[in-house]
Parts: sequence; structure tokens; C-alpha cells
Amino acid sequence: MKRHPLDVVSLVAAVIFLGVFGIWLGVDHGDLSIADIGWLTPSLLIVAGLAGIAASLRRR
Amino acid sequence: MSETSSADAGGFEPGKLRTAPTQMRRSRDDRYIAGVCGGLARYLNVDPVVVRVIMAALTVVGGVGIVLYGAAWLLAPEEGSDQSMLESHLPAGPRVRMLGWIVAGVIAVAAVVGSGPWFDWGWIGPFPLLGLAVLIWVLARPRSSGSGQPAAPTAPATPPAGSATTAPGAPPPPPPPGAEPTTPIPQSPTASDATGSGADSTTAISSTTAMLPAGEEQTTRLPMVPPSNAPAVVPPAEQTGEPPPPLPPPAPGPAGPPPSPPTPKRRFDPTLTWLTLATLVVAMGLLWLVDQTITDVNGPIYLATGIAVAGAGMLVGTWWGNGRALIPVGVVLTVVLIAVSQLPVWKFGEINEAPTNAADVRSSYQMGAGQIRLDLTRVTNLEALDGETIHLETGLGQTRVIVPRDLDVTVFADLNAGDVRVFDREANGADASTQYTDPDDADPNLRIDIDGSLGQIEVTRA
Repeated sequence: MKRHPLDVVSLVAAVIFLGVFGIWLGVDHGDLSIADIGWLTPSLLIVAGLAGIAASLRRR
Repeated sequence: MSETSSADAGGFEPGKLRTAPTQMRRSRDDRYIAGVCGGLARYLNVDPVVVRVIMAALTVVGGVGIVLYGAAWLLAPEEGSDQSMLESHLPAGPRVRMLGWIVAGVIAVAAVVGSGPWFDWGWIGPFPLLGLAVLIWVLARPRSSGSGQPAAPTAPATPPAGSATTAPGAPPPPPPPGAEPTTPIPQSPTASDATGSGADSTTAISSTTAMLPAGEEQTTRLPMVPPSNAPAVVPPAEQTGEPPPPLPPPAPGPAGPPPSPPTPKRRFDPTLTWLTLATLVVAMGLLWLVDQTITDVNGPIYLATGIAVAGAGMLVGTWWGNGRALIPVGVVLTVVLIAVSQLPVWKFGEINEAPTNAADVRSSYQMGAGQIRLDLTRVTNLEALDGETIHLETGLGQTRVIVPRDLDVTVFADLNAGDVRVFDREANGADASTQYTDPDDADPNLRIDIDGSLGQIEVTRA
């Protein structure tokens, strides 16, 4: 496994999946309610997308 | 825009509908968005307007048109290319195209079903479409302009090809990175610089043919496509047994003359994928051990842990190794997690009770997926139920309660989607719910709350 320039696809995917895990954790074991998923999921996509945009621009 | 010139020539060939998914190409010149309609029309030899109208009509039907368009965008190569957008980012070769269409078909069917009045996506609503948009956005970015790994090595795409066929020693002039798309432009200068103007045309041709799979005449718009084309198509076919070898990790830039076009630039390094999957196995084992020894571990915990491990692998893959093969793993686990989190409890099967004593009537019955059947007609001391509340919940499946004649009930039935029948009251579809209260009289009064995600609720009187 060699170090390589930042891979945007992997970054976006990682943010999304770790976010899904975080949301699940918050709902199942934390204080979040099912209804919170309604705003958490879109927020997660926005964060992941912004991360992707930022990473793409930085690589350029 | 070449109008519909070719459309009139031979007429529509229905047989081509069958092969269109795998054979069609997205049009380069007749396009509004991605050339799907134009390309399909050209392949089927019909007027593009017809295809566009049908596509628009399908979009109204639960968004099927959008699903199919997105699928074609991802799965159909552009004219002059043999590699679709998805194929150029995934390890699998053209075989993935059929699989992709099957997935798209399933989604399309689900979209039609989902658009019916009896089903509600709820808050999930537009997210599948948003996801598709994100996917297209990620995959559509030209690989030269700094997307992920491919960037570094492929940047000087044209020069290596030229130098390999002409003058290996001569340092090719670096092509302007943002160079304008048309093929011949980047190539001719290279060739002429290297060999002189006399050999110009021949070298240009030979370098083109050397780089491209047979049957290719035109290189694609972007200068770097040919190299990514050739290697990506060839190798996956050879290494069928291998784990998905997605985009090879970045390799050091092409130093000097070496790589002749057909040689794969870099091989997929599966280290990170295996490392992550192995970690996943260990995590599952540990959870199972905890389940056996310390405390119950239910299904969602396994799934969520799997997602976390896969996500961590991808995070590592952002800088080290290649973790893209983990993305499908994460997607599958997430879909299953969403499905099972609809269940109130991690329990499957059937609860079937007909208590004879009010003391045996529990206050709560829960089933994850399956059936609950509660028959109260054999309870002898009904007066003991007076003022009590029973709560029944079935995530996926049927809940039935049978009430004796001389018991008054107040029923609150709520179902996210499905059929609710409480005596003579019915409700169905999304958010089906109904209430019922017996007229007040001397009989003992019981309150029954019934909830469910998907299925059927039925309350009848014996």
C-alpha cells in the first residue's frame, strides 16, 4: 500500500459510510430520535459533497 | 448537430431494442444532457424526438425515465469509446454493463411500484435520486483534471503513445493540460515534432491505431482517454479470478520512454481491500463472541459495525492503497441496515396466543418480521381487562386481534404502509391508520394500540 495523492472517490465514500454509522449510533444508542434522520441524512450528503468539492479543488 | 440524417436511411429495427442496452453509444453531437436519447435514437435508427418524448413520459411515471437515463449515462460508452463511465472507474470490464442494467431495471420497477398511491418513500424520498446524482458527478469528472489516482500517471497521455511509436528518446512536448478536446490536435504536433513533417500523417495514424482497441477510429474528446481505455479494457478480462481490481493506485509518473500503450499502467493493489475485509471478519467474530458470552448483539449492530469498518477502510484508501472495492460492500450493508431498522425488535417468526386468563394477557407484544395473532375470546375473566392497554407491534407482517363480543375496545391502529381493518373500518396505503371506539356500555373496556411498518393489521370480533 503506497501513499498516493488524495483519492476523492474514496474520501466521499468514507465520509458517507462513516456518517451512516454515526447516525445509526446516535439513533440506536444516543439521544437522537428516528425523526432526526430526516435532517441528518441530507446534512451528511451535503458534508460529503462539500468534502468532495474541496478535495477536488485542492488537487487541481 | 447532424440532424437525423441517418435516421431515415434504414428505418426502425425492432430487434435492436434487445441489444440496445449493451450496444448503444451515447451521442457526442446530438445531446442535451449526456447524449443518451440521441445515441439511442441513432442506434435504433429512429427520430431522436420520439426517444426524448418517451423518456420524458417515463420520467413522469415514478421517475423511471430518470433512472433509465442515469443508468445509460453510467453504462453506455460514448461514441468512439468502448468503455462506459462506470467501467472506467470500476475493475470490471464490459460484463458489468449487463449487471448494471439489471440493477437499473430493478430500481425502475421499484420506482413504478413506489409511485403508486399505496406506497410512500417517506423521508427517504428524493435521496436515491440524489445519490445517483452524486455518483454521476463523481464519475463524470474528467480523470485528467485531478480526479483520484488516474490523474498523475495519465496526464501526459498523448506523448507516451507518440514517443513509443516514433522516437522513444525524444522528450515529447508536454500537452497543455487543459488542451482543447479534438483528437488530432494533440497528436499531430507530437508526431511532427518527433519525426519531421514528412512522416506526419502516417505516424499519427499508427500511433492512433496502436493505442486503441480494434474497431476504434476516433479517440475521445479528452486527450487522456485513450490510454485509460486500452489498459482498463484488456486487463480485467484476463484476471477474472481476482478481486475487483478497481482503479489501480497511483504509480509514479511515466518516467522516460517506457510504457507502450497496451501495457497496464498499474495493477490493482488489493492489499487494503483484503486488510479491511479481514478486519471485518474479525469484528464480526468479536461481536458474535460478545453475543455468546456477555450480552445480546442484534443484527443491526453487526451491519453498522460492518459499515464502520468498510468506511474506515475507504478513509485509509483516500491516501494509502486502494479501497474503492469496498464501496459496494458499504452500499449493500447500508441498504440492509435501512431495511432492518424498520423492525421494532430483532425477532422473527410468529406469536400466536389465546390466553384463557386475563393475567396471561401481556401488555406488549412485539415482532420484528412475522405475525402476531392474539385471540382474546377465550379469556374468562374479561372484567380484569377493564381499563388496561395492550400494545402490539409488528415491523413487517401481520397483526391480528380477535375480540370477544362482551368486551368493549378502543383501538388505535397505525401502519406506515399496508392494510388496516378494524371491524368495519378500513384504511390502506401509506400511513394507513384508523381508530375505533365501542359505544359505552356496561362491558369492560380495553384499549388496544397496534403499530406496524409494512403489512396488515386486522381486528375482528368473534
